[in-house]
Amino acid sequence: MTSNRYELYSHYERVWHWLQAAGILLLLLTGTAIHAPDRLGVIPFQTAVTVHNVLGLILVLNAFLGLFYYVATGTIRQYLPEPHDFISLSFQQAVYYLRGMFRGEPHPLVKVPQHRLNPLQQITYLAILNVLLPLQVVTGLLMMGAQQWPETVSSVGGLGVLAMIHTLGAWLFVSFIIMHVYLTTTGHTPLSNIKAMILGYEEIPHEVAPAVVEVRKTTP
Amino acid sequence: MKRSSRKWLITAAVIAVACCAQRRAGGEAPGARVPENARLESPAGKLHPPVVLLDLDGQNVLKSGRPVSTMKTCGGCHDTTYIAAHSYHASLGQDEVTLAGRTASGRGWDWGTGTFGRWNPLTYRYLSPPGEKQLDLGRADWVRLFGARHVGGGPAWWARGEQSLVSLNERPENDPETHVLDPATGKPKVWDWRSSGGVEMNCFLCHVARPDNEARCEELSQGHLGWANTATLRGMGIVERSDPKAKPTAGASVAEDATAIGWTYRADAFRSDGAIESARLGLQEPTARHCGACHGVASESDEPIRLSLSLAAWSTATKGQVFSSQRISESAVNLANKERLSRPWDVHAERMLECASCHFSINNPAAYEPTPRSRPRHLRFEPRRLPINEYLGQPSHQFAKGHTSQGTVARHLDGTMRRCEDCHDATAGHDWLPYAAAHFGRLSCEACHVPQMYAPAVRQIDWTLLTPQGEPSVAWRGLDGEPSDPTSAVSGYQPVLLPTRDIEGRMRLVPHNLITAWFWVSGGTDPRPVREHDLRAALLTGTGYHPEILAALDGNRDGQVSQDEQRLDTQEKVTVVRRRLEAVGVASPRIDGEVQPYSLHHGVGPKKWATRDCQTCHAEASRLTEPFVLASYRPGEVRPRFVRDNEVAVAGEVAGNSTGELVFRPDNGRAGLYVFGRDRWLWVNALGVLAVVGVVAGVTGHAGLRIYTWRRRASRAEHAGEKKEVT
Repeated sequence: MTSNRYELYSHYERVWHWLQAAGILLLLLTGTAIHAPDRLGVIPFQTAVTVHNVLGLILVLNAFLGLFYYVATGTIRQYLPEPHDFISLSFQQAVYYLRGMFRGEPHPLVKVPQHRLNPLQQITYLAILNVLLPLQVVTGLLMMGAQQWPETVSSVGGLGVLAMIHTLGAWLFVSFIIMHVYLTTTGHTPLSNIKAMILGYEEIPHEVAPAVVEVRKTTP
Repeated sequence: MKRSSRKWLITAAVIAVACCAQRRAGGEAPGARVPENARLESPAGKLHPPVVLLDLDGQNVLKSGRPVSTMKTCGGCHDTTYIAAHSYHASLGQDEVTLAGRTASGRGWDWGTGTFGRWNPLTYRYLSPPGEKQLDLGRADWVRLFGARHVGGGPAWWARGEQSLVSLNERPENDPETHVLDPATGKPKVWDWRSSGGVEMNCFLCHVARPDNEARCEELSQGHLGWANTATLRGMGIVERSDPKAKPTAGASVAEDATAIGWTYRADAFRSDGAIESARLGLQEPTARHCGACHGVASESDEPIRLSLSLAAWSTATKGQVFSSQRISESAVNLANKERLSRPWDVHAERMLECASCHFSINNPAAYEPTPRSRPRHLRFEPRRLPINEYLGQPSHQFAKGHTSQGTVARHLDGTMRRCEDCHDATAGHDWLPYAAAHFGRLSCEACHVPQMYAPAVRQIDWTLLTPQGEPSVAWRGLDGEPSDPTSAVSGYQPVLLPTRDIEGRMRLVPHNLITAWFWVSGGTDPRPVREHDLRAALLTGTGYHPEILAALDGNRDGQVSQDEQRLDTQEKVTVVRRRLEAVGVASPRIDGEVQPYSLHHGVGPKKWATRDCQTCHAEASRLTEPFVLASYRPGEVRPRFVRDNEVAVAGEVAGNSTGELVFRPDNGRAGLYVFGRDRWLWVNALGVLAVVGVVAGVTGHAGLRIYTWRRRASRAEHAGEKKEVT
């Protein structure tokens, strides 16, 4: 079977992704150590707080660098759903996940460099990058700066309310990561998506490759 | 010898020589104890002119033989009227009284803010207010009972209406200023103030080098009130009992010759002109030892400290407080792991601070500097000071004070003393502490710097049932054994941290001891603690328990009442005692209970003894929420309430634990405190776990179905391939 190799992710995109992934995982780990120090005794509380704060700041910095990159290169368009057929495409994707996948039907939308995300991914990432991540960042920064801005913290209900929102966000991140990792196995092979995020390219068989898109194709 | 070793030897030798030279020159290392004799040569003692001891009529006591009048003696130079009128140590709240039940304590019978008018279950006797129907504690008995911890003056000298007690004419029966309770009959009897004398503010108690407090207290308890101040001078060899074997006789008249009471002035202590050298008196500023005479164990000597666990050492008994530079390991206290306790009892004592260093006279030009709280906001420094001569003429004896949970007297002076942050720059020593400002905003300095008390303190007192000796049952925390037994094992205790609003309005955690008390209360709309006299009459006979009480208490019928039986832990026992109280005339008796918080501000250790481990608080087993035992049992199943005249936010619940003890479980969340690592929103975690479990289940199901359908398709394809081949 012959295949085409598509460059899907640039070096920067891959480094950015894995940095974010490592950052989020370590944040979850150190966050757990802060949340329940007795249950994760290997990390001392003070170390956990320091590492958590530093990681949080790195994550925010990385998020802003990523935003700059995506805006500057125009890649951000990939994250923006196209309004005219968004609902029908989402429906197609959902039907594929719920039925087509079990029947061996082909993906309704094949991943190519200009179009890497299906509508459900687009809406999920939009929610995560525009709601969940900012919520975590804002609540985290407020907790971190509670002693500098006590009035602000009090006005939003105090540390307790902030911690509640932050913890809820952390749980949603955990759920998202599990779902995200699982969905990487839904490529044309179970590991093709993860390989693509490591190597930057994906080998797509001719029979599933789109014929119409303009692609920067490398020689196999 | 190697060059480096030689260098070390030379350095060590130089240090040793320097130390010797300093000692010879009289230099003292910080924390070194000052010899007792040095006190007599204090600067004040050298400067002060000779003193002529005068009696109330202004006669030299050496000639008249009558008791010394401190107001006359010291009043020749110092404005003693002003001093006595400006001292909450003298008034003890006499100037703050109101009607019974109108104070902030929540008790229906309190009518004052200080020892005068504010009832305390530890001392129990209730000072009857004017117009009280039934007399409990008359004024004279109040002086006899509370005088041991009162400097005199105020209520020990003045009746209401600015009339001196010694000039009072007899008033109607029950008037607490002219009557006392006759212990034999339980009826009021007249007190002869002219015979007993009153107690003027006792300058000697705090300003002579070695006041004889024991002699003073003995005179007070015997009712020889007029002689109490004079007896204080026995420690300076100025006065002595005329017959050392003779004990004072109750009721003897002060108007009689001194020898009738038993006191004689020693002529050899006086100069030929009838004056006494000030060095003989050792006049000085009060030291911690002087304050300790009333406030608790405060030692300056090298003698190993022994704890006198009684209410006479009030702050030690109520809080476990000891003010001394002595290392705990060097004390005579039978303390667990004492050898490891190389810290002093109080680091401020070790660093040579006296009580007056913080609790100074508020017009002392040398000590007083308005705190940022009390000076105009635009002033960094208040340059206006009293000239020293004016201060010495009218030294205010209102001493700078802080803000405690238990000290309700003279609240208008709260915050006049310098607090920790007025002397210490906390930011300079807490570089290691993350979120220092957040911690400082929620924790008092004492919360971390007084993490443990090493002396025992009272935990509970039960007046609902007396011992056969007529005493209440008292239990101590941090003590295994009898308080009077020096071999009892002492472990001290970890105080509970309670959110308390400080003088600047900050709600911060402050270490506390909680003392729970149970007692009988009589009356309906005008409740009063049942008089001790009535309790004794109801519960005891001359030889032990009343037969009815004995029958109710003696559960195993062995004719003895064991310590476990000696409590009202069943409804039947409560009913019997109530019946007995009604039989002696107590109306509508009921059991009441209360918890009095005592905030801890002394017993500070050196910094390495402070709490530094984050997980002391930031953990599930946080000390912030550790249950604090209030009592080992609950008489009559009564749930005690917290006394309210303080700034403590009682955030938590009083409940029983699995061993039957009554505990206080702090819940700082109710006070708006969120502690990472300890506090968590259970519903958030439940929701989170549910979300994760849902996702994992969905993913597992989806993956399983994918594998299943993939295998089925593969099998079909294989099958179809085989068929094709066969065809």
